[in-house]
Amino acid sequence: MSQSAVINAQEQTLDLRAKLKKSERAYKFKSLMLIAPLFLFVLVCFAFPIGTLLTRSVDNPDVHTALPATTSALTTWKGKTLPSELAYAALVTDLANAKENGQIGALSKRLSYEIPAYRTVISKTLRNLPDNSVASKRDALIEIDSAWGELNYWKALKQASTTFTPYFLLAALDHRIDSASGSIVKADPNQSIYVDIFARTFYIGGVVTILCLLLGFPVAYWLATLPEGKSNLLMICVLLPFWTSLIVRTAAWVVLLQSDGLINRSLLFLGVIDAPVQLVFNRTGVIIAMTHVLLPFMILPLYSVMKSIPTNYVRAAISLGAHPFVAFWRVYVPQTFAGLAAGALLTFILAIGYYVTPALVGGAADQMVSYFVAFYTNKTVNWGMASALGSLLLIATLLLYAVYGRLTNPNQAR
Amino acid sequence: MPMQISSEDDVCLLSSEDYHVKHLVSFKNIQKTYDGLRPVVKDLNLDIKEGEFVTLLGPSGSGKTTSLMMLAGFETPTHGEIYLKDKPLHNLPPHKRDIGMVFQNYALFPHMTIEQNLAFPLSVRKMNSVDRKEKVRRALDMVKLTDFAKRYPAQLSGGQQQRVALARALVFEPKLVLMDEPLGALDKQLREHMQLEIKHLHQQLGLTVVYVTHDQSEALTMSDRVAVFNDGVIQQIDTPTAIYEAPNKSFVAQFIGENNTLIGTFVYRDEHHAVARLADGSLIRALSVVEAQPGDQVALCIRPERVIVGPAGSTPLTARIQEYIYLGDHVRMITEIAGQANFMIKLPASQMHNSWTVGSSISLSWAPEHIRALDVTTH
Repeated sequence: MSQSAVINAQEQTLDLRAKLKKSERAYKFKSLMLIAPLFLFVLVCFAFPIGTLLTRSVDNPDVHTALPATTSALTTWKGKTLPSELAYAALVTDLANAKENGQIGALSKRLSYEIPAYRTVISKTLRNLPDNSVASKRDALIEIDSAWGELNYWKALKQASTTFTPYFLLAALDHRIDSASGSIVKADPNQSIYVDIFARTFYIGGVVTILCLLLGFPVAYWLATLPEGKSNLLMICVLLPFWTSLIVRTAAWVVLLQSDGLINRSLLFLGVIDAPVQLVFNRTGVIIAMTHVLLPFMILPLYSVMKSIPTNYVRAAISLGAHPFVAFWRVYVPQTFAGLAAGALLTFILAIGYYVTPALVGGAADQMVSYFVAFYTNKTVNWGMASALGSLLLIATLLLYAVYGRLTNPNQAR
Repeated sequence: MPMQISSEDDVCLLSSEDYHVKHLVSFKNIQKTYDGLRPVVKDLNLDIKEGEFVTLLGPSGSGKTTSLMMLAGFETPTHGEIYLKDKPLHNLPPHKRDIGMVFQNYALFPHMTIEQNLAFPLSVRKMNSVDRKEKVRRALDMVKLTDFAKRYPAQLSGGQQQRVALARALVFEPKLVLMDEPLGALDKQLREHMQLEIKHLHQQLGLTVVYVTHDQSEALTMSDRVAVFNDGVIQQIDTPTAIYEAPNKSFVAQFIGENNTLIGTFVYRDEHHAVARLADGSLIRALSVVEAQPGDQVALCIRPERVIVGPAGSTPLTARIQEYIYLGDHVRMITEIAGQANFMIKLPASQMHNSWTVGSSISLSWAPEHIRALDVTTH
């Protein structure tokens, strides 16, 4: 009797669990369906293309697709002596096929990254490609161009024939793998430009962030302390730049800042300067325009944090004997750190990715990483270099984000 | 309005030296308006003696917090002068006033530990770190929170935060402490406990406290004197007993505790008593407080527990029971008397009678000193 009662009770719990699962299943399905469109959109239009582009920074298809037989013939080659006759024969066949398939352009371009003279070597070889009747392909090729008798060229070929390569990432950091020794060395000084460009990018980003902070903090404070009606009006003024396109705003700065522009003329009229000051197409112009464009991204997070700080805190500090300035500095400012960090990070991340503003307002020495990404994508169609620069920028951003997470996380919840 | 001078003050006035020493704070003809049209505080005159616990009690918008903020220095009076130890305050910025203050919701600095919060007023006074540590330790001891020194305010309960706020306002040993509804955020039990704790600190440390609240029981429990605010004016300032037992204004009678008001017409006065006629023609003798002419309306106020109930017909005043509420230790009856509904009677349970049921009649009486003829308010 009691046993059956126990079993009954167990069955009932099981039944209840099944019912709960069933009712939750419907709920889970519903929520899944609700997020599905956005999830798919992000996956197809964002995550997938970006992921694909990022792999381009290490992707190395040109050589091993154009010269498949040569690549496999070289896999066991140690690089101490010239490769075997087999490799030479494979090269001749591969080059003939590649010419037919139209892969020569990409191949010689890729090889010229390793040794610039490779381009002429390939075209010279192609013009005089030996036919099957030749006994030794090795002798024939060396006859055509002595380069085929040099270890360096073969090492470079092998190095360039791997599926993945650190070449572009290293190049973006002004380094390369020396094909002779196989170790990582500094790139030639006349090719070392990227570290400087990254430094310039971070410098401009830093200066713009600091300027935005200095200009934005008082505005955000003022906004947060104003009564509702007035602060709404002022908020509209802060958000006004968002209502016009970035290019229009940047073009407006060109008009304002040029030698004959409003600012120079006003300064001349007021007698502050004797001759027009160069304010545009240089660093000054870039920093002025970028600071203006990015200011709202600093003000908004600061404002939202400041709005949540009751006036009581500063009053309490003053009542405890602190001078109003001390109260502000020791009690108010530390409580804005979350907004300050968020605003600074947002501004900095946006700033280091800027392209349009420096391109329009800056000079040649003010172009930032994004400009070179665009340059490699649009002008030279060097996807590897473009995505390597992009990846490094993304890594820098992610690192900053991690730092931000650590800074704002400490467990002192309000 | 002119301040009520209690008999104690009269004694003080005999010696002018005593007078000066004893008044720590004086509000003289203080007026305050924010918009230039509507006064928030109208002509406030208030003297607070050293060591006194004075509560400013009133509904929201009555001017009590504004008065406190003017004393603290966060608001400036539109007219008049506040004196602290006989020195005018108008040129003294708030951080130099040396007044401890406990804020609503405590205002503990969230980015500092409890210890750092308590050390703040000492460090801005450039006290050396050895003395500072000692004072912080003693202050934590005083509010029994020594174990919590390293924690952040958010990790403490409401009552603990309240005690920290109190310790922080006292750690730099101010003579005067202001409290702006400090217990408002606590639950009832904790609030009652904290009331006693604050009262004990006041006595032990010989503090002068100005306390703002809208909770009348808090005001009655803790204060030496209570100033009842309404419409920017002190309606009455007196000891808690006098405020409760002898209100001078209808507003005070109604705001503090439970009160019955019978509206009658003033007929005549004999010595200390006024005689008024109710709507049904019955005459009531009440302690005369209000200045009234025959024919004026007067409010006759009596506390529910002062009403004496007898069997029907035993006194001329008859009431009909509308509702009867049993509360264990006491009984409440809501009755209708002389055409006026909602006349409340409160009786110990031991005095209740079986025949008192809804709809039945009872006779009411009271001692004439317990019913007071006051002004008729428009409230």
